[in-house]
Amino acid sequence: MTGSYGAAQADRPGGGRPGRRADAHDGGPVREMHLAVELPGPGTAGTWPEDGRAADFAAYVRLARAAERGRFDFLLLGDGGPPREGQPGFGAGTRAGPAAGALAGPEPSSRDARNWPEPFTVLNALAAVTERIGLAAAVDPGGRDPYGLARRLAALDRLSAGRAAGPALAVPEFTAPTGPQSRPVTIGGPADAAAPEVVLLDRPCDGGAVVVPGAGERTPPGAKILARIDITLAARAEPPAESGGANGPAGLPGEPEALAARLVARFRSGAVDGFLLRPAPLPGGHGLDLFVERVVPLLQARGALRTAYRGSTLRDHLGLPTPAPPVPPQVTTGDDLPRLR
Amino acid sequence: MRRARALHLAAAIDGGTPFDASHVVDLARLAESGALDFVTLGLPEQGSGGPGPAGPDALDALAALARVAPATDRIGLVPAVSVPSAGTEPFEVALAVATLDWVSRGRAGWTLAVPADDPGGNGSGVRTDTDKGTRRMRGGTAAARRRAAERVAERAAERAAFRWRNAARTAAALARAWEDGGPLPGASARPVTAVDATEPAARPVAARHADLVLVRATGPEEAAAVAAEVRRLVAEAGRDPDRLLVLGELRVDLGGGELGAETGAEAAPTSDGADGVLFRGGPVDLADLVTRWHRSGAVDGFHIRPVRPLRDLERFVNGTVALLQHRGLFRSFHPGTALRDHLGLRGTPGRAEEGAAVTASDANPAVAANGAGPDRLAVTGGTAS
Repeated sequence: MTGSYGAAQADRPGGGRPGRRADAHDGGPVREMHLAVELPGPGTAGTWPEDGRAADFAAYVRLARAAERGRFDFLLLGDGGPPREGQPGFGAGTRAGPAAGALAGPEPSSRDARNWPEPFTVLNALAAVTERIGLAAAVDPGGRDPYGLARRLAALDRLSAGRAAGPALAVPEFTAPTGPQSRPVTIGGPADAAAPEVVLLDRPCDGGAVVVPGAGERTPPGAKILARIDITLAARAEPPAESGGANGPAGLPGEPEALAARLVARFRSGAVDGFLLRPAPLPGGHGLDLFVERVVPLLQARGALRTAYRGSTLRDHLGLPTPAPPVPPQVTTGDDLPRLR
Repeated sequence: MRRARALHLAAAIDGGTPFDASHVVDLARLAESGALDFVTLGLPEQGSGGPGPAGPDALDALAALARVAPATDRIGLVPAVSVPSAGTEPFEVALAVATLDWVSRGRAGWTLAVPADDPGGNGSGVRTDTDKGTRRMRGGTAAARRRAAERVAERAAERAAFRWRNAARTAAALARAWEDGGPLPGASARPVTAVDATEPAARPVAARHADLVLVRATGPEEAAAVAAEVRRLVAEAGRDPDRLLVLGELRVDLGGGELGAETGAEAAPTSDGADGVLFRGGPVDLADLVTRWHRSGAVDGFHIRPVRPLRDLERFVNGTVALLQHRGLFRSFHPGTALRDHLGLRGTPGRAEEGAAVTASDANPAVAANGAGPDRLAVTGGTAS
């Protein structure tokens, strides 16, 4: 399934897969960089300029389509954590403090989560304007009904024909019909006790070995580790712009060539499997355009990034195994349950 | 006294595999091609979407319509959200509805999916002795049978009151979420709220919160009586009764279309044995029924539930709706972009308006619609030629 690389493989330096994480479950000899983009949400302070609120939905569509053109693995969208007891409304008169979830990134936003769209609804809508890219909901299961979350995640997975990811949820009795990837990909942070299949790091390593807290014991050997990274590109081949580091975990300003080289170097070091990009804070959802136009071709030319999707599910993109469908509990067939409606 | 107003038509797109995206998208596009005001989607039945401790999720239907939103341009999207919903805060439901409104650019509404009546008392929280009562209704003296029947009816009313008390709490919580404005840019108005007001216990909820009520009735007089009652309660609640839209709800079986049109007899809907009203006939018969009911002023339009989704919706759009458009009774395109535009519910509350649908005839107060109403109805711009 990795035979379609063609010329891209020729570019790969010998010994290009020394990392400890390389090839564990890639299903082939070529280790592939995984890219994802974090869509603006309550946890992404500094990445959205428009009035501290979500912009028009068209901006999200533009980001999603740019990411799919760049053959990214998935879009990530978070929320502001579970609703608090008695949270009455959206308006300014009722605002409370921030409630960024565990997955919402290193900088909990001071903005109000109520001014941001609900992730599952947005991802379901984005499934209609994209064809292949994965759709990850970074919602914190704490304080929520796990069954309700599992159900919403399963609905997203089926409506998108196997492109969903979300937090690992402990719902043993849950037996929703499965889609083509059997169950949604699990995603979480390095300290996540549930051993997610995709681990998001707040800070990338810089060349050296990355320290993943607890990863040795908890992270399954096939898990993909993605490092969050801010992308700030100079529009032309000008001197690097102001560092994006002020806004995020690790800004990568500069020219496309330099950026591509640094990404590939970090990836080839074997410490990470890819990157979660936080796009430049450009209005209208144009923050990813330059990266996809200028950097993605360079990554592809270096043989680090796929030039086409070879599968249709998110598990295909990530090279994760498709588990056997869950076996429904034998307590009931469903036919003897009372019918609602 | 009610004027005949612009005709509003909507359709349910339930009935397929709950999360088969192409199925719901195809049906919604078909409805959009008929310029219908909106489509509704109910929650999948338990069992069809996977059994679980809490039944269908409160937001299942909303998820499917979010998938539909970017695949359509104009048609309104009205999911059922379940209330009370286990494990889902009203705020989460409100934010999801607001988000659907945002991704669809003002085309979202929502309707309360109140659990169906459950005479066994299971789940309603009210234990009953319906079975015993029903048995008593079959035997004994006439007086005993009457008393037993009254008792059964009382129990049903109690259960309905219980179910709708919970619904009222959730509806109020959702309404409060919008008190200080919406959460997202470009969607300032509260999404359209629809309530099935057939059960008397539902009417106070409808009076406080609904922009639009659905009524299951077998005749225009019955529908008009319910509408009058709800409008009276709306006025009591301090809202403008003229801004409330009333749609008749019909299950529609258009399978016998070719025969029905020739008989000349009026096809009348009948009770379907459950809680619904079933129309069986041809697309032309249905167009005549829609015209009669609407012309009488009993309803502002219809929400149809196709018995066989693809067949009956296709016949409704290409038969019934096309004929109504040809007769100048229904618009042939959406003049506005938002659901409130389609429904004529934009603008200042207190002023009865028809939005983009105002015509000279509609503005003429002589166009009364009680009893023998004139033939001129409010007609939207750009009717079929």
